[in-house]
Amino acid sequence: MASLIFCCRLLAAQKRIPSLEKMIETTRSDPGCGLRNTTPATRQYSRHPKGTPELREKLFYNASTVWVDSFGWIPIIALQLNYFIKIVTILKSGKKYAMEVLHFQIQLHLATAFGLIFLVMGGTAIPTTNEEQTCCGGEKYLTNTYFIKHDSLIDSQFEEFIANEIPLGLCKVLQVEPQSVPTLLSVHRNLIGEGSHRQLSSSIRIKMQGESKFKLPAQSCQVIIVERLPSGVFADPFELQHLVQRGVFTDAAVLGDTNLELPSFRSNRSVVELHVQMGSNMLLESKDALEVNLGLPLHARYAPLGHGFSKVEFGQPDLFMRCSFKGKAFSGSCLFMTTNHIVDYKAIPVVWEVPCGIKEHVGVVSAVTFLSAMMSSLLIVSTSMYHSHITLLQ
Amino acid sequence: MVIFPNSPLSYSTSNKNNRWEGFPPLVCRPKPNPSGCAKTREDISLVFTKTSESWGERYQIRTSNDCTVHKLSKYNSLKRRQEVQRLLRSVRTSAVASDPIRIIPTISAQNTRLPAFRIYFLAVLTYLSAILRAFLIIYGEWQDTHMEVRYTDVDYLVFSDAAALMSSGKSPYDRSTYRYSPLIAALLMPNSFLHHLWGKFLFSASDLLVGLFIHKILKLRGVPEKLCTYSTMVWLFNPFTFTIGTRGNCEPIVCAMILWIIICLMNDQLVQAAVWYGLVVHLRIYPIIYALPIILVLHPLHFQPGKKPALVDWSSRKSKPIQDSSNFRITDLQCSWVFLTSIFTWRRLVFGLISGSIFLILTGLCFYFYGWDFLDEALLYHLTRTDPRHNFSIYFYHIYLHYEQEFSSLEKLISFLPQFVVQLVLIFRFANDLPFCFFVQTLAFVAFNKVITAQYFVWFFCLLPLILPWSSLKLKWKGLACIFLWMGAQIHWLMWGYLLEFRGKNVFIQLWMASLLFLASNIYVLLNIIRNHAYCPVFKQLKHENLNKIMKHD
Repeated sequence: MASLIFCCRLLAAQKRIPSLEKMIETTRSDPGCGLRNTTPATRQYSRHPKGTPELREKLFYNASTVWVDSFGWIPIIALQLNYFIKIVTILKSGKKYAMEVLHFQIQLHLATAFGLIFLVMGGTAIPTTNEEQTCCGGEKYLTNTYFIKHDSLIDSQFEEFIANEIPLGLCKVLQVEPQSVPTLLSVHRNLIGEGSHRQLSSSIRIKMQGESKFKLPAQSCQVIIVERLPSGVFADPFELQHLVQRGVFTDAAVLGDTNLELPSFRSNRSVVELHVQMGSNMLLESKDALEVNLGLPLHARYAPLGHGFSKVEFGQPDLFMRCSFKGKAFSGSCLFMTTNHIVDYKAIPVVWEVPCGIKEHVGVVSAVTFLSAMMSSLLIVSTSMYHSHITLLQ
Repeated sequence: MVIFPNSPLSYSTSNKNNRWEGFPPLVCRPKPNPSGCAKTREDISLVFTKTSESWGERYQIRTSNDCTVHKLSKYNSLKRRQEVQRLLRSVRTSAVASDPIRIIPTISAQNTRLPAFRIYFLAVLTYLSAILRAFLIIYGEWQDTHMEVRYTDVDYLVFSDAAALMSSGKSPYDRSTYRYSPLIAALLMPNSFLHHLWGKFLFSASDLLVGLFIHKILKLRGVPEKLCTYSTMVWLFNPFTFTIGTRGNCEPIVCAMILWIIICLMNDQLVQAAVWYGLVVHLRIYPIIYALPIILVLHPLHFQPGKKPALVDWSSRKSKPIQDSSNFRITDLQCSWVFLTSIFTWRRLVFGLISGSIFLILTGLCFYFYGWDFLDEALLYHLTRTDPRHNFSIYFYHIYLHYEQEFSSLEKLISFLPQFVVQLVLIFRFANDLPFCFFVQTLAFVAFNKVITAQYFVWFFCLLPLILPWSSLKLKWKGLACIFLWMGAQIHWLMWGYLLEFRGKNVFIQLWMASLLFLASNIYVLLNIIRNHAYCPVFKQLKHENLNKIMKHD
């Protein structure tokens, strides 16, 4: 029975393999979305094989195993307990039991134990199917094109890129009035936490103008935040993918130098791009403004040597809004840049103090390290030369 | 005739499995009341009776007409000796008889109690540890999905991703921080189509295999059943080890392979040992430190043509150690030809050539498939790794302070020198006791390494049960002192590490001193183990006159 159950689950798993291959095919062949260059400067982790399960497969999986999940446990656990008790009584009684019978009992016990393990494995299997292809017509990540052209992040080049080369899409064509463009009310930034792992929380208020509320419903809009990280911190792309799976962000990417291990004077800067879908739960009381709260988990790199603490300063993020809408004649996406329409922009710099090594310690540390290594090795050498060959007859 | 304690006394042995060698002779003190008991020493013959084989040896002294006179304490040999001496003193004062005392070991009728139990005790232990590991794996699943802090190690996710990449035909090195051989990713390919816990079950299964191998090696070397089982339990129920396998680290597989190599060497399966050794060096670089002891132990004096090599029994560890003539001798140097021929015997050549070629073939294959990525990440990274981030090693702060400048060759040499010297001395001293040599080498290697992480501890934990039966470190108090000192130094370091990483305080100097303390505790444990070990070579040496015959053969 256990093997039957296991085969059942294996069949369910087999069904998932074609979808995995399909997902890999689309990743390979689609140049627009999730572009992956293999040069180190633009290495980007775009897709993880796990995602939301397809509806049809979920139904099949559930239908075949739901009765097993609810009722299959009982007889197996009962059998297990039975065998376990039998074996314990045999061993305790100390009677001269025929070895073959004991052997057979133990084999049955182990077999049912394996059956239990397979059941549990099936119960915790996460179906690995493909992701929803949410790509648009153009680039999925705005800053990708910057890194195709340039090797590393330089502020002036990046600002020039932002000012001139971002494709604003259909907004120019649509004749959207300037007043109806959403405006940025305020951006509050804060660094939460202690130590080397903190969260950069941003609270962004966007005002939607009157008529545009009808033309551009908020639900179809995404807020895109482009953070240029200073060289002392980095964001873990795998952690961000985990957050995307849990639904905190719609999408997230780290572009630029993604080496997680180098200290800051050896690494290049990176850029984090976050997409957050705007939902109706973000509407404020005045019904005109939306508030978006984001927490970006960051980690500190090892700082260059100094005198105790070194400061890492964060600049201002670049904010965009991409709205996609389907009209009578056209559908597509439209990109707004909101940094130009700042009404109330609080610019208190956010500073992170990272502990760093102290330069004055160099001499002492090196000397004591090598001295202790030498002494320990001498101790070991002397003990092994003079104290071996000692027997237990002490 | 008065028998003094500790004098060797000849005794007749009728049982092949007797273990009475070297035990001080006992005398009988007649019991006062029961009728029929011997009154004088003439009627007394000393009888050792083993009443229970599996639960330990219980000694009784019986008279020749089978009335029990005295029962000695079971387990503690020191107490036993004191009792014997007390008895002797009392008998000497009332010495009557003149005939010598006979010690006759017998096995009474009751010790056929549970024959099946002895064989199946190990099976029960294995079963319990399997249940424990399965439970931990499932608990890890639950913790991953429901709590913020993951149970699964980051390394396991790295392996799974690399395996998924490999199964779709790409290079596993596209996954950053994957720093192992592609073979490990190949092992985990069923993670993507079978179940994502496959890897953890595989590692836990090799964990259990390590336990079985430990038991097998100890039995091969003649250790009594009870000690075997206790030593195996040191591995199977050690919290360091079962968490490593269930969290998804690949170390248990490497440990299983190393123990299998030891078994193959003890059974004279040279080619198999060489193949596995080449494979294990390809997977992890560190077993290269075992190359020289293995070469040294394959000495021609240990092997007779056509027969399996004789293994030294555990029970002979108390006898006077034989002069190890298979060691490096000065007279050999005088005749360099003899010296060379004794180094390059056919066994050593075969082992070296086969393991070297397996390593080169595997590396070549992986290089052919994955190019320079493979060499950089899997091999060169480990050889030239200087990680300035904080870890248990004493060198981390030194590396961090010097990270902006490159290291000069002199500095690199000086930092490598203690490691090198210690390894050489340990090898040349202890090579013939192979498991002990492996253990002290690994412990010293980890202690002096530039980077130490918690998973490196498994490398010597798998060898620790192999040396325990020969160690005279009592649990009270020296053994416990070692354990608590080692764990205390670790916890102390972890406290400073927590302050640095999660509270952001500048405690670099204190953290560095904590790692110095950790090195000191490692050295203390190592020195205690060396001092309290009964050095016992694995292979028996053949007589010297056979040496020429064997040399001619080789």
